[in-house]
Amino acid sequence: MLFAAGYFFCAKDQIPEIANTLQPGEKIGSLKKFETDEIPEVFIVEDDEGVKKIVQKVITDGYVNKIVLLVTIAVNSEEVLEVEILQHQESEDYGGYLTEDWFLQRFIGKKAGQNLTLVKMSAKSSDQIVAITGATKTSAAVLRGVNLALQNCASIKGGLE
Amino acid sequence: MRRNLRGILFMVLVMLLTISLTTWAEDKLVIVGFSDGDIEVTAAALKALPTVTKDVVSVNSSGTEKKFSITGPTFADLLAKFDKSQSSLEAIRFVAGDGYSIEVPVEVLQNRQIILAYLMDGEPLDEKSQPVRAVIPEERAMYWVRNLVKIEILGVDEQVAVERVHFLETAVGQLETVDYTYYESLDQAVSVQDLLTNLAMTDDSSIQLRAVDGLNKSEDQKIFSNGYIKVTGTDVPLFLSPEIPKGMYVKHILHFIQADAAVISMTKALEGLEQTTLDGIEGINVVTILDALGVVKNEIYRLIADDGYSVEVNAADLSLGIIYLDDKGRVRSYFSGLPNNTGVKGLLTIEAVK
Repeated sequence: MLFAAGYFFCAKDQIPEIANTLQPGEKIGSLKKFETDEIPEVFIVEDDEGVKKIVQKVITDGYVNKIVLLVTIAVNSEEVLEVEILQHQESEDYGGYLTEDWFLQRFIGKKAGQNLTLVKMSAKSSDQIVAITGATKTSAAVLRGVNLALQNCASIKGGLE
Repeated sequence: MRRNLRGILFMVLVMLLTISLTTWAEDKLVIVGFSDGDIEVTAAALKALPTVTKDVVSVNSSGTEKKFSITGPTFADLLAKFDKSQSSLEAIRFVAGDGYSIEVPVEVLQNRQIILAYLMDGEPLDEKSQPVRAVIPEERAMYWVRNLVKIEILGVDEQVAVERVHFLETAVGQLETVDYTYYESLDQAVSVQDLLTNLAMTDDSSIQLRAVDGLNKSEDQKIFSNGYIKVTGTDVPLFLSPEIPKGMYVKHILHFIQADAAVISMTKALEGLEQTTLDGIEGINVVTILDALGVVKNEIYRLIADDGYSVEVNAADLSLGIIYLDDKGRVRSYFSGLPNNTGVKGLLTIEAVK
């Protein structure tokens, strides 16, 4: 079944960012079929009960340079479980706050099918994300990355089924 | 053929590098406001000045420290080249290419070295920080302006005597609040524009903010009036705006002054000013508050409540009075030995009667 779905297992040391978060019994698979220019790496995490998480490395244009983020989405609930910034060069006193938990937590629980939008002061609905103050472009870049991952998630799920 | 291709690629790389260096070298820093005309210096000209290299530590508004080694000429050396001196200036404003701006007060100009850094940790600044980054060692990161493109030479605003003091807590109670997300918390804030309009503070001069920890900051009227004052949650009262970086926020505002009007937070005054107890009530002596704000000396002062009620008190009796917060958080006055009508509930303003 796994082979037919088009993925193969990876050695953990090939992808340390994900391997560090694995629970006992979990394995990582690389899923080349759903990779794009902006999502150059797609992984699934599975255990004995099946595929649990989809992890996507996304590259977007920040204010200063490219931002590389890792978006983890639960397969069953299709909710964002974690957003991690792997690489950025944003200015420390503007967009540099993008790595802070209080900002990344704003994406947790967002669902596939939602098209997230950016707002400035407070979110009025569950699909709105409050931007980092004074760093709209950086915030928009992270938001775009998460939106891309959420959109790709639907295709990946379809491909796995 | 392959050799030709390599040659072309090499030429293209050299050209790109040359263009990039040329662009940086031609980037300009403009100094405006001197009576004898503006000064325009290119990054290349700045690099030709004597430089200093220093290990510095930036501390942002959250207290996070970062260490750097910076290299660049001093602002004082740049000015000296044009027969001007940093210590004779009264105030300057750094303006970044992206609109960030901050006023540097006379105390900093007279006591601190300002470095116009073009190297950080031995490397050229990133593109968005060029041509130079202002660095003032020993001062907070809010003065370390990247992408510095303009320095405005400012005169000190003509000192206008403060004639009226408004109490922030009462003034906020008259306004609608809006939701404001601050870190993980959803708090309430009021529009500064609404606040100023409600208090008839319509002057367009800059605002002098003072935090309870002693931080003084001058803010441009337009930036200030487009912002908000957060009134619930942590760090309040807090000046903030979705359009400005966190470094421009002012936490724990004790008071701010614009022209002849001041606004004071009683909550912070109880932390930052000397408290006293009068007939069993703890508060701050009226004279202490008026003196802290430099309120003009007059014979009579008027106390005005949020419902429009007002009462006048002689200057000689001010020391008999205290301002305090009651158990519902309302600002009140109490005068020992004076008629009960001087005890004002919901105190909004104390003004010198002309």
